[in-house]
Amino acid sequence: MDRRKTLKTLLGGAVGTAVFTQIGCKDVDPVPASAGTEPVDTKGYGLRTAWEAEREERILATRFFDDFELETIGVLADIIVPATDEYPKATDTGVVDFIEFMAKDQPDNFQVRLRGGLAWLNAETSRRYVGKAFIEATPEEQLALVDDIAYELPEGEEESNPLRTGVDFFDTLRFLVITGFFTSKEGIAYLGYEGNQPNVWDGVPQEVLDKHGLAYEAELLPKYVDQERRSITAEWDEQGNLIS
Amino acid sequence: MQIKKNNKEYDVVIVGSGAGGGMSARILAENGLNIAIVEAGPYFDPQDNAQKTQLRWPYESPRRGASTTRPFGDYNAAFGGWELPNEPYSTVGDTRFEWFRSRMLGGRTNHWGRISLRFGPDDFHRKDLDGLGANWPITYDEIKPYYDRVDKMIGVTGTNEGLPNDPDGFFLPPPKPRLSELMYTEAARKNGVPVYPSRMSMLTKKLNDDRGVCFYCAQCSRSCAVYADFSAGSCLIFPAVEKGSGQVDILVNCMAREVVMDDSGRARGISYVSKDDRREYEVRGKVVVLAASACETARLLMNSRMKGQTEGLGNSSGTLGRYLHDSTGTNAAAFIPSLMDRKRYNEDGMGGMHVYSPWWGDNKKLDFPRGYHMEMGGTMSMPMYGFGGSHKAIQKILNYKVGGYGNPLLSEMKSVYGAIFYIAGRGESVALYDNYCEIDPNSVDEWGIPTLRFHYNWTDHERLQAKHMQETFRSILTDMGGEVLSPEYTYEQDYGLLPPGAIIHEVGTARMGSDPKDSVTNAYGRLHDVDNIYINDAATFSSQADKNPTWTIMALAMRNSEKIVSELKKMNI
Repeated sequence: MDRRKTLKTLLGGAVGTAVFTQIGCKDVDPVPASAGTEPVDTKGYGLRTAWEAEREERILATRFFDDFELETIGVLADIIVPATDEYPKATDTGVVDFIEFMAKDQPDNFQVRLRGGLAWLNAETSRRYVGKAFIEATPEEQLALVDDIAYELPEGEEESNPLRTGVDFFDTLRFLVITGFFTSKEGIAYLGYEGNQPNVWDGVPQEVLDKHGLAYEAELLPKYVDQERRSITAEWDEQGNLIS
Repeated sequence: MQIKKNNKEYDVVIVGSGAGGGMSARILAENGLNIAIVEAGPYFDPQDNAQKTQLRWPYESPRRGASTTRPFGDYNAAFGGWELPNEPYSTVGDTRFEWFRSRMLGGRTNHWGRISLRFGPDDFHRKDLDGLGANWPITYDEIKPYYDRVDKMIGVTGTNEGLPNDPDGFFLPPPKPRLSELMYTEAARKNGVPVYPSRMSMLTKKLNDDRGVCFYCAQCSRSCAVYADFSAGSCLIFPAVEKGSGQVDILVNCMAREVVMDDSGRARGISYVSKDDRREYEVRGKVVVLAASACETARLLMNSRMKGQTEGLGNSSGTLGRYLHDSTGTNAAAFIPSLMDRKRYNEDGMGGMHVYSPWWGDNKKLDFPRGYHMEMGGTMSMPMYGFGGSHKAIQKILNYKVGGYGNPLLSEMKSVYGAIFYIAGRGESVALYDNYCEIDPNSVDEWGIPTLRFHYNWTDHERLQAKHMQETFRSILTDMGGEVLSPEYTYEQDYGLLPPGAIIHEVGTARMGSDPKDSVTNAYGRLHDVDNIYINDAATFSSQADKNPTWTIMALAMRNSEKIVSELKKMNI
């Protein structure tokens, strides 16, 4: 790679940019002063070291859950995150692939716990509903069972309650489904996270400050970064006072 | 095995390319010297699209950013961690030392927190003040001009406050605090704890033509593609290559094995193994600079041989590897109900906190000798693996039914998003002779290099400091209206102190001093025993302060490197 050329490319974007006139507005071309010249390419997910890449290749070449297990995970995931007007159901957000991956990525945390939990769930369904597997039960039957294992057991019953295996299993699966959903594109949109993009931070919106009864200290305001002057090269006097 | 020699003799061979090695390279190259940098990891440039993790979304990672292979998650720009495959270390007795290594150009500067605090006048002579540890052989006034130059060269936010032991500098303007930081400021001041704009090495304002300006994505730990944060590669090594008048050769994927000595007791160069072909090589230099990190530098010296010294090169004092110390650290987090149902806006900001609290206490009136500073935060941050993991604890606080599923659970989680706040303390520990690293006689890494084993125990100096931290955190968090989520720790649990090494500020293994009998280097980082070996990393710290070490590493590396230039000119080395 020609480093010199790379750096020159970067400087094209870093130098010679107009000073901002509209600070903090989303429709302003967000960061000409710093974002570089190329569009952000977010394919892949950044450099892996050789051993990370080899490890990942191994993981992706193997399969842990069988089709029956994956289908069961999908039904449970859609119970945990069902579709609404505001977001799609969990299985439409990549959660099942994520759980299959995590089982191989962190086998000690997940493999026996999830596989054993699924087996427990099918045994319990079969006992309650004459020989049915969980995915064969009616939606009402499925929800009735989930209601029994979706909440923390009363204090003192953590080790004695016959449903404890189911409660532990559901807790682990719920964690994966929830974390998988909220880290998906659709989950992030529902949550309302607005970052991960070039921005010009100029403080908390006034209405939010007002709501919380807070204000910036008048004496500090002149010391904070003046975003309209951010592209002017910093200079100091001999005492360390910023003069540009 | 035949050793391949590169016949070229450089003026200086530097081991390591982090804060110390990077600054050395830049100063030496700017002064026209020809240098070689031996780096154990690969080339890294955060601007290269193939390497860049900045601005990626969690769903681009199959593990949604989980920390399976990198302790701070998939996108963290540290190739390494507390465990490296096939590069073991060991501990003795009940030692819990953890050793973080990052094998890559720029080393650990690529992911660090960028909290950039100068040491203060008191920090250079603590022994005079409390009788513990050792004084430095230099004063704040001697190093101040170098701190000033580091400020202007690298860039650091802050405000001049005239504090006695947290000196003023040449600061870039700080960003305004976030909402929760304003709440912290009120609550902390109520507790007598001062709060100031944070001192972080991000460019909130243009510094020079080589680097971009911060665009507030909060992802400095991923290393900034426009070089708006300090990383040794982008701010020191690349400028050394591009602008230095000397030749700079970077040898990547080269693991230093030992300092090679000649018969006259001078260093001749560095022998290393190439990770690409597993062969042995040697690179020669008039001067050798070690900047491989405190423990790695000590290991390199211990694995080197010199006539008449059996306990490691430069170790006539017997203090090599001794006085190893890391910053102390403990944390607490709280759920803040008044931050429920927040209005959404982009709150990312700089990577890390916009305000901080330097040490305010008087240790003469307290039951522990050294201070700490506080870091904190809580934002509507990008959801990553682990999101929702603390929700059951929040349900308990809110008297909700614990567990659940479906739309009610999801709207609960949406409602409490951005309502958790944490405070962390980072303090000074006392350097002790009995906390040390040495060569483990029973182990080598995959490069055949003998590995380290650690002896390290906290004392009541650190435990009682952590107790004070926890009490302070809880009081401030409660005054913020928070419900503390963290457990209350006991004396037996070291009051929540993290194990040494966890804070990644390890220093002191080859401390500087004026007496060659109890120190390894002189005030310029030069070995007492060998004229042409310098240590330009935190190994030379006589004591760590209640500050982060990076700014001091760079100030010292700058000072030492200019000494090397003048000594070479005078033909003294």
